Amino acid sequence: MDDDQLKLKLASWEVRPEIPPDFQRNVWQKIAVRESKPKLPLFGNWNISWLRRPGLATCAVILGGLAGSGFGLIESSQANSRNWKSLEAKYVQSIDPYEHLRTL
Amino acid sequence: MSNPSIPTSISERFRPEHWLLFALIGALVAGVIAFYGCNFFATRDLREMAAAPNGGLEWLRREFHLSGAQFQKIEALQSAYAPVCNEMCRRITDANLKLDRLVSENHEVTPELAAAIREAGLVQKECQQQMLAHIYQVSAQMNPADAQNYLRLMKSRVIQPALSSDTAVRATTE
Repeated sequence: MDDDQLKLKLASWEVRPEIPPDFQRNVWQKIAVRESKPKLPLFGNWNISWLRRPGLATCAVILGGLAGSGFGLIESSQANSRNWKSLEAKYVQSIDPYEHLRTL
Repeated sequence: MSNPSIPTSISERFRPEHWLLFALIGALVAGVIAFYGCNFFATRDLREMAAAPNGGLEWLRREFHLSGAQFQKIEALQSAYAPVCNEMCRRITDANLKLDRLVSENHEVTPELAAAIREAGLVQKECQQQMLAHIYQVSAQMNPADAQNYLRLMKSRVIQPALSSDTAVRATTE
């Protein structure tokens, strides 16, 4: 085949690309898979896909609430104890003139 | 831009880092709200009691399990004792002021200073007697076990504030 024949052949060559019907869908799926991979270098190669779930946030909120309630009850118990002592002192002041004058 | 054929639920729209952040912030906010909420509601009763003008008497009612009738009698006793207590306060103040002035003015124990010391002591004794009489009257309104507890507490708080109430007892038994 000489050059002229080759040029003629190339000129007559027609490219008809055919895009597969689910091409776009596959592209989006690949993007979604790539985005779903964890990107927390701090955790190295650990599987932390469970961090993705909203259940984690729900559990954390519930645990935070329980912990807060626990600390709140402990603190309130101490505050109640202090208030009880101050009420006792208030009663003593109401009957003891010296104690009454001491607090003026 | 999104493809409708791709499921885009809320869990998939966020990255894991975001969920972790939401979880931490949510836990912190829930914890703080729960802490202050519990603290507020669990201390409300006593805070209101402490702020009330008759909080001391209310404390007495709860601490010594007083019935309605017992509380009314003790309230009446307290009302009758209040002017006595105020008068004692006035006498203590007068006696102490006089003693303070004489101690500052003198450089030795003059007869006038000695009299002021005696007077301050007398006022203190009388004050203790009045107080003790009131304490006995109040304890007489209580149930026997509560009356014992009340007397023990008052002994330690009022009669011997600087000493343990069983100091003398311990000294004789040791």
